Amino acid sequence: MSKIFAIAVNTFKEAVRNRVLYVLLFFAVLILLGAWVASSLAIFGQEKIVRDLGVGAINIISVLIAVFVGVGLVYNDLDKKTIYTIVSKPISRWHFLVGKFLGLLLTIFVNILLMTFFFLLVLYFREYTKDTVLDQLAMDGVQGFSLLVYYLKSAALALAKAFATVLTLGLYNTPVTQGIMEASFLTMLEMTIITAFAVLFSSFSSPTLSAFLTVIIFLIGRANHDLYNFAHLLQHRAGGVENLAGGQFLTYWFSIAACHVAPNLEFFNQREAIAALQRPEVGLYPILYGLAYAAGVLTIATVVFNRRNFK
Amino acid sequence: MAPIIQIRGLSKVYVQDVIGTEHGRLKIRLKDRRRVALENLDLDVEEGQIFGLLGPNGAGKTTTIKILMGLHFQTAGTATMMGRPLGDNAVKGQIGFLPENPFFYDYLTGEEFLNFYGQLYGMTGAARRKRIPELLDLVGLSKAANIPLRGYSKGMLQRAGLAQALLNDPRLVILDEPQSGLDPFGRKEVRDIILRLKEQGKTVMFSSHILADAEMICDRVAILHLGRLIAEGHLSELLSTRIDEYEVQMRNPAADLLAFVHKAAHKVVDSKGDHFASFKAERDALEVTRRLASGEGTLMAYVPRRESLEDYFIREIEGKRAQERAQVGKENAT
Repeated sequence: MSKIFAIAVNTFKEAVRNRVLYVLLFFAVLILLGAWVASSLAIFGQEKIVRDLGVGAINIISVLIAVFVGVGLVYNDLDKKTIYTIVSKPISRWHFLVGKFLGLLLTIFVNILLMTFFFLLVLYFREYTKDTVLDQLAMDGVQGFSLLVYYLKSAALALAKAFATVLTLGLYNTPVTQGIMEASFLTMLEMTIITAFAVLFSSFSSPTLSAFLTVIIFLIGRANHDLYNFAHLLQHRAGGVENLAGGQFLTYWFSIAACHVAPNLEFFNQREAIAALQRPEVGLYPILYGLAYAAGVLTIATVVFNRRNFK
Repeated sequence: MAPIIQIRGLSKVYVQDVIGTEHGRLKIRLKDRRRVALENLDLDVEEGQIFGLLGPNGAGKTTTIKILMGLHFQTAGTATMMGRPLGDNAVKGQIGFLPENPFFYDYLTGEEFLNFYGQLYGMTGAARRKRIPELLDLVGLSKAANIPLRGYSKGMLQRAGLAQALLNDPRLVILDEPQSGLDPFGRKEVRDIILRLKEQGKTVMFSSHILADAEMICDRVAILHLGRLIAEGHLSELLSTRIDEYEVQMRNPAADLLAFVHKAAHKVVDSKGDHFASFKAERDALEVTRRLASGEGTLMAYVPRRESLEDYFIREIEGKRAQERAQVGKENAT
């Protein structure tokens, strides 16, 4: 176990040195600030826009980190032959793969927490500076230096509250940030599956192909319900599978196969509930599903990896 | 005592991908995709020896080592190390391995790098803290311990690689071209480390094409060519004890003597009063030394030359190549 831990920590060190990670985090900050700006342009539903965009940004940036940082990790060790001195030590190949997976997952989790923290900061600060509050301050004659002090105080309070929410893993939260930590937790579960796929593809193909395949899995996973419904619509229209014509028959079976092979990532999508200021239900099922699916994918990756000759 | 490495009938055939690249260009291969890298290799390495795996490029040296270290899987045959099948973690814990042209995580400092590998060996924190400074000192990297590996020269990287191979105080050390890319000082340091390991009772197996170094330190060698073993044994068995030629170096010889030297020697090099001559017949060389001793000049050196490993290697490989050419010629004629 300590050997897997050593590989995981080393992978984390490697990943946090990747410039792509910082570019993605920069974009995350831009999108989260953009959500705030966009909401101020809306006439109504401002809350919904900020929350929807924010949770969506955290989700998408996490996927991009899993894909663009993840696919290179195993491949680089194979390509640069670093793996020679690692698997020749008293460890099994699966130790290496699981260590890489956990290191990447740790990187993604830390980044999700960072993005969530920033998002909470935006939400809390926004609450202190929303129009009604500012109007009231203006009526009370607060302006100039006093207004600046108010902004600074709000920023400090928002910072403290954001820290408290993240550190207590959502136990401390206010109606403003309700459900955000749960959404981030679900994103982490979703990323557990996506990361397992990134490691699987990276263990036998080039980074470009791995990235492509991982994104495809993510897209099919997200469209799982729609694909399933689409297949049944085809079947319903034709009056049964046996009546489907050549092209439609193929489309039907491709859709059915794709939504059964790819994970159902809709389990982890609670954006609508959060946008509607509801607290999403995080049941046991998504947790078990996420862990079991990732374990299954990693097992396949191990089988593939165990049979490889390292060039 | 059972050999520490025992290889029986080991073969490796690589099947190349249908779509691949060659010299940076896309290439589609539909036939001739099989490449035999190793063919029916039998080899024993005894404990406590320095064993040299020698051969030109493409001989199968690295393939053999990769199979032993579990990086490649053999197509046929078996191999054991310390009496256990390949891949046994208990055995891997007693082996130190340095691959050819190693590449490591270059963002780690020398010390972090060794600490990481120490963890992979399952060494405790206390053991690592004791062993790492010792090794850094052994390979002369103490001053570079806190510099990231990306700042290391090729020689320093090779020494860092050697240090990671010795972290676990291994019983068996396997080194793939350990002197590749090193300057003469670096090569000597590696030679000294290998000899020191032998003094400590360890077994060292290394591949090399630097034959002079191999000749200096190996107890036994195996010579591979195109995946086949063409010779194996103690150096004293392989190299003929027969003296091949007698070299005489002289200064200011008399004109008569010089004329005799030019007539009798098969090779003469004249340089500013110094003359270097090689004789096939011992009696001619002795005649020259006698006349020099009697005042016809000054004898600077007299060296009877035995066949070197390099001579043997070239003779064997050339012999094999001639056989192959003859075989191809015969097949073409029929």
